[in-house]
Amino acid sequence: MDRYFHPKEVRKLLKSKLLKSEMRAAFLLLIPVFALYIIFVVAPALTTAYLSFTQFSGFGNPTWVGLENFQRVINDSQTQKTLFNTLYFTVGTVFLSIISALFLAVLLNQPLKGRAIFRSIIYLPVVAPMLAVAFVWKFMLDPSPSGLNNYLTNLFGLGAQQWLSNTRLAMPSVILVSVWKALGYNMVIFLAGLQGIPEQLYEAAEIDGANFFQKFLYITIPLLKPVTTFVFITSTINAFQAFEQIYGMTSGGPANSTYTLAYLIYVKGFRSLKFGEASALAVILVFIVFIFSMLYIRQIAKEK
Amino acid sequence: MRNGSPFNAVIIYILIGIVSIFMIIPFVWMTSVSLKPSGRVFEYPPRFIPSPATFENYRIAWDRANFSRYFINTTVFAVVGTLLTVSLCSLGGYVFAKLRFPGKNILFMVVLFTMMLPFFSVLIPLFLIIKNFPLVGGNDLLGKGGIGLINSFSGLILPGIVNGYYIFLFRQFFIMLPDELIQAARIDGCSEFRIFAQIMLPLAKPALATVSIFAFMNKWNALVWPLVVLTDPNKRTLQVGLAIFQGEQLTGAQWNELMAASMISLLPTVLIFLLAQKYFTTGIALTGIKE
Repeated sequence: MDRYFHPKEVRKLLKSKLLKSEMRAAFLLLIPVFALYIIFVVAPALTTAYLSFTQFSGFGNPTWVGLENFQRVINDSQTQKTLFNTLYFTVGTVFLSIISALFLAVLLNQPLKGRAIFRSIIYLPVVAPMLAVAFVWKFMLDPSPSGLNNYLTNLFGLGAQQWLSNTRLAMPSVILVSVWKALGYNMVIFLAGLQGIPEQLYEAAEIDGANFFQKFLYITIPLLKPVTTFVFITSTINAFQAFEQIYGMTSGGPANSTYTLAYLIYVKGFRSLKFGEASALAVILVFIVFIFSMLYIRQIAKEK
Repeated sequence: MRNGSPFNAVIIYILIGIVSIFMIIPFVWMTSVSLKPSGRVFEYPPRFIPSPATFENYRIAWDRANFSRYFINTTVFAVVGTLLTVSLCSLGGYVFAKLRFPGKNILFMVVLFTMMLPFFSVLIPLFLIIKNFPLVGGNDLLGKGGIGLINSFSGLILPGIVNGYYIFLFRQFFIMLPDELIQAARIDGCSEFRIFAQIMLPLAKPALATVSIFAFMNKWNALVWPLVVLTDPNKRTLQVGLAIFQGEQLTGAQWNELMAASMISLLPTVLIFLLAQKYFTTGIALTGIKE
């Protein structure tokens, strides 16, 4: 006769057996994912750290040079200018992105006819390749006397402007294009945030006699704080890695005034073949981005 | 705020109208210039409707500048890359969401940690790994002697398959699905892989659609990785082709051809956006910003 099992016992037995097969399955299923993960994410990250302490041109073996790369890039005037530019670009892009996306989201949150069409138009640049739109902007900003730029500046009485070949105007132009490119994405995030604010709050404020600006200042802004933080951090992380717009519009010029960190890593690595120095710059980039990532993760943890 | 805003509808329409013009003018101008014959590119005053209009620039970009080839290369890269990305990242996301195993939290921390790793910080090692990949492209077991996976389709596609961000998105989605389905299937003796592939994956269609679209867009629009890994002109993607084509233009006289080439490179993503708009906003909801 078969041995009698108590239902509790059956459950326990089944559970442990199932748990074992579940564990085995988990590891088997994760093998392909983690194999690729280790080769193409973890190993490269560690290699960057190692290469930043070496001198290496891609041929032969890297030579250990200690902190020399870091000393060199920190004392290099081009890197200093690049770090300043990257900061300038990031602050400009993030600040303008938040202001303009929030403003547009508030406008488009009103019940308007044709709202969906406006939203699509504003989102369009997000899906286009950055390089292609960088080229059309470069063309539109072309200073030739018969170009669109000259026509429009004359129309508004501004006079001819050398947007991309003037050291003072080049960076603001690149910032403007970057804000234009990401505006739709940031706007959709703010819209999602606005739609999450309960209507009753506004109604209650109205009963108390609050006007539009008071409602905006004391209800919308505080309740949008998590969304604003999200936009702030993602835009900052993206801005620190800006590349295509620089590559397509200015190539870092004029007079290095639009060199940014990502562009300098590319040039140092693949044009000058200074893999060690480029890796030192990459470590600096990781360091900056990680500070912002940690802020982001802390924010998410606080929300949960 | 919806009620009693100080702006009336007319003012709002004017403001949104101005912004919309600013957003769309580059696309209109690109289209217009791409249809202009060479002598008319710098006509003054500038005209938005080209007359006479010509498709000559598209023909030059498509045939002579080889953009037809780049188009095929990019399509294959983006489609195959997206399929692999979606299969492996959904699998990873599912395992982290639904299976119990020791070390899960630590492994997931690794995924989160590398999610934020800037691509530019791993660009050089990735290039070296692809170049020194053992036993391919004339390389020996130690990865020396040849070019490895440089200029190969695998070299282009492999580094972008596993993405921490997509794994995270899938995990967030799978976590919302009920455990009972999995338990019932297990009692029926269904294998763990079949539970994933035949029961859970079909339920994850919104996440699949969103990640597929994001992954496809990112691959289609990618510039820097294809630029460093492809040197053979026949293997170029559209974005690399565009970069090289611009470099070959000596003066501004061929702007119309460059604009035609740019149009070719952006039409597919713009079309996908117009056809599948709702998945672009679902993706944003999935990241956890809304609930």
